[in-house]
Amino acid sequence: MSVAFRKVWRDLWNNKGRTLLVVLSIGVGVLALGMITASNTLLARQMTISQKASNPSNVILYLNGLIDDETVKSIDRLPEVVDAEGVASMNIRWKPALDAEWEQATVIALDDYDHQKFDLVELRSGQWPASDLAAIEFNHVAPYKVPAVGGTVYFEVNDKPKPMQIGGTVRDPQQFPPPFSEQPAFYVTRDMLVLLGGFRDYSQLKFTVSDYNEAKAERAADVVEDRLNKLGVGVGFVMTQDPKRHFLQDTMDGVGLILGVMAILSLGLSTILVINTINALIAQQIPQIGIMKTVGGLSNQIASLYLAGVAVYGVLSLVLAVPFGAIGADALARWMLSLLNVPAAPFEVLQLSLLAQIGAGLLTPLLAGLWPVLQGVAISVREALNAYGLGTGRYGGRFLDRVLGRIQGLPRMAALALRNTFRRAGRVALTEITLIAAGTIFMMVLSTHYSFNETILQIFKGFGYDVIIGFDQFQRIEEVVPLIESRPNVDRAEMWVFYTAKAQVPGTSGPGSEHETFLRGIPKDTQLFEPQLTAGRLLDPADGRAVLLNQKLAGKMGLGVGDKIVLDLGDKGESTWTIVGLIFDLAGRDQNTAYVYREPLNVELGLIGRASVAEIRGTVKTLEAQAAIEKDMRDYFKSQGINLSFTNTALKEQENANAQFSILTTLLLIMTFLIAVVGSFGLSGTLSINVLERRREIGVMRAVGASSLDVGFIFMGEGLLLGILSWLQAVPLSILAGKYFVEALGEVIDFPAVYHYSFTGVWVWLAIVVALSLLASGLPARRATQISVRESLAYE
Amino acid sequence: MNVMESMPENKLLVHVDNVIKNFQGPAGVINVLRSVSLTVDQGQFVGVRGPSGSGKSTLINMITGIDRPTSGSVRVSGQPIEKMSENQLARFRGKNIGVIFQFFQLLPTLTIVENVMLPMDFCRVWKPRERPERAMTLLEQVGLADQAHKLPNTLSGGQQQRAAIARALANDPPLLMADEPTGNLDSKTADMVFTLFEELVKKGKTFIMVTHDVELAKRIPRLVEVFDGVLYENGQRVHS
Repeated sequence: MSVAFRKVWRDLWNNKGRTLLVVLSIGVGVLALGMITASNTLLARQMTISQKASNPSNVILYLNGLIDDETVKSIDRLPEVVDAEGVASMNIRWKPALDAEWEQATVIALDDYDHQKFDLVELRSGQWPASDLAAIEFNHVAPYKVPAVGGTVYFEVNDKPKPMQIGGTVRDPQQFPPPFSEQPAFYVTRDMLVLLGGFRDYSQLKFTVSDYNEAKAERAADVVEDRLNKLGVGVGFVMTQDPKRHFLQDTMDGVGLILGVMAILSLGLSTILVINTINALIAQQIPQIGIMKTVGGLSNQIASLYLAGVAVYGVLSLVLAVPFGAIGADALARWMLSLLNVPAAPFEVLQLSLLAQIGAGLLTPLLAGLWPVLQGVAISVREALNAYGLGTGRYGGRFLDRVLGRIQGLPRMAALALRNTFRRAGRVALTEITLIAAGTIFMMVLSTHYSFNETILQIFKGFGYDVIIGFDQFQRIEEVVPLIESRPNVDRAEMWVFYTAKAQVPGTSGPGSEHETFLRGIPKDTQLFEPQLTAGRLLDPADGRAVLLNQKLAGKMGLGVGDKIVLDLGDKGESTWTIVGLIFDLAGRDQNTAYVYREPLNVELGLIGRASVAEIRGTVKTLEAQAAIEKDMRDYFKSQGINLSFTNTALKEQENANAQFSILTTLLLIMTFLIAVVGSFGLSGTLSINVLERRREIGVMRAVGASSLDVGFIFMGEGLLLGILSWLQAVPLSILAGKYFVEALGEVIDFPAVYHYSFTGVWVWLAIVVALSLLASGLPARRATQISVRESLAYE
Repeated sequence: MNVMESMPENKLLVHVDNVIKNFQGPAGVINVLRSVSLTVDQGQFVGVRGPSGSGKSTLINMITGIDRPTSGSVRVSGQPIEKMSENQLARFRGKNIGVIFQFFQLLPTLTIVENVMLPMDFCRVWKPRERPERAMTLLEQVGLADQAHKLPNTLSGGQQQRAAIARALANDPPLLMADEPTGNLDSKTADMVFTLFEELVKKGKTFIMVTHDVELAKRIPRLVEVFDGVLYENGQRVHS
């Protein structure tokens, strides 16, 4: 190896602390890039594999009623349908032990587990359901505390606990772990379903079409729905599935994009850090550059030496970033796949991601170091060799120096800390950029979390209910409301109508013209419903066929206030309504709700004086009070022989919604943490460099009486000042940029949250940045205190 | 006195002709060198003396190309070095001028022998496999062969300066320049180092040295003095 390159290698080895700092700085950015690109790829690939492997149905119809095997066969014979299959399911109460409380569960029965057609349920352990054996969705075992295989659960049958052994666990692609599910799913045979629920027929119909596309599937669904309507069976709602693409792929792609942007940002900040460090490294090497030029070294020879050193940093960073990036990507992908109930693949290092990391790891430091190196080696020999003595003789010339110099009354050490902080404006600026970026993103992420939660809170406030219960059959309103309101802790009960319809723009027809709409019929004297109006006005009791339309659905249909809308109520016929207002409403599927008064809707449905959903306001608004009302309603109506199809509490639903969004903010916080790490490296690096550059000054201070504490105080003071300054700049930036961040995120995940700034985030970040600053400056400050007078003033 | 008369051109190694050097300071222009002319033949040992701030180091910097004149010309081995680019100067210096500094200026992370080989690597005068041998030979000449693989900070000042001399000789340059090379050494070591210089001159090297040391200056055959930016020899101003 040429002698000069030995110098480069030894410089790296002899300054292990600095080498480690640069390597970590590059490594964190490259790790983030590798982790996110790999996890995005793994996620997309596994979701697609899983989707295809499950042989998904193209259309799922959730029925209002039951159909038998003959009906399924007749649907199967339709020309639009390639294959059809039914699924039977019911809600049931269960408990893990005799002395436990009853909880809600779903029981699903397939005709033949060994010969399933679509949305294949996979056996994970044990055996398929049999005459006396049930199976449980494996993702539900731990969160819902279901006994393991071999254990016994109890189902409520005729008010008595019926024991059932758990014979196996399954993975059902249609089931998700909490918080995306609310109750466990058990699997039984159809014969067992008869024992549990008294029926064996199907409540869901699935089928496939040839050469799937969404329009074709929707057309086929219309045909099937018509056939079912003629048989007297209504359809609750319809879902279509692309057989090649997981239905959440778009959302995951959007999340992946945001994380990818943050990873690139992290890499960019790492690059800034590296520029700072290499700048300082070159600055320290100036006398040696002068000597090398004196003994015959050309600028390009010397530049290639230092760039070789920089390349070594890059290679070392890969040693860190590649394995940890792969491990991180695997862990992240596994976690996200588990939320989607998609199996993960065995650990692997993805080639493309590896190449991206290698490219970034090598190119980043080289690009970052190019300018400082070229600048440094361009120095003349005279300037380089004149670099002995205290400082460069330039301090005091700038406006800032003079302003800071005029600040009087500060203790000397504090004045030193203050003025020293701004001696190298360029270095300070680069350090501040990384800290400001970290702080801004942190506060924006917390504001995003707060915005999501506040938006959900406002939406649920708009609903007004504490408990919601659905009846299997439409009930007489004048009978059931007094019953409900007579129960303990109930303040008010309102009966609503929930109906799934198809909405159309008048005069349009054909595929794509019909939009699934969740109709809500509300009482004219409602006290609970307070929607967020975005245009027009609320419903007026004098209105006839007036509708409040979800603003997202209105946007899709191109409709606005004053426009007409056709509501197709299936076998109940069509009617035209007038849009009087648009609302922001999270309910429904893909925000497809529409609110009308109950009475005109009931006229169309032929169900005057009846409704199927009770919205109940309690006297106390706590989770426990709401749960108590919910339980009481279930027990009471059971005792009255009235079946409930579902119950829920507002706070539980709200918590569920919050938990779902928390997953996203957790992901964002992970990325923010990486960026904060880069920021603290930047600060530590800057202060370390400052210590090195001011060795002689430190020696002089010690020679004139400064204690270790005094010296340490100066550097800790600089670190703290830089940290707090970054916080002061990050706060206004986060206020300005936060709104756009929340909007962009909302676009990606299809949730238009209302922006709320989190002031808590401001103080949390201040605490974090103070802690980071003290930590980052601790080691450099300690090093400074260890410099002796003799060694610092001796010529080196 | 005009020292240009009857000097055969091919024996002339250094020719400084009417060099003016000004620096721009906060208080205005500072004339550091005022129409300085100097010629040095091959094989001469020239001492440069003068009080602090007189311009003697600046004069040395003109000859080594470390600095450039405001006006005038500087020729070394017939080459007009003030017209060379930085890279040309670096290469020219590496091959033609050995520079010895007051503060040694050895690269701290290279061993002594590696410091000596460094200019050889840059200028490629010697083949790679010849370099270690040549470096050891040079170190033997300065009495440091047994310290070859040590780092500079483990050596005394005198040893470091001898290593710096060996480095200056790496590419066998005809001219050696030293700016107060004994300034950081005790008298005994300074004497030892100076003896080395005398030996090099006897071997045919041309040596120009700035010194404050009165006793050492007495041993230098030819002395010039710089006062207030003006060059004097034997009490008379030197003109071109």
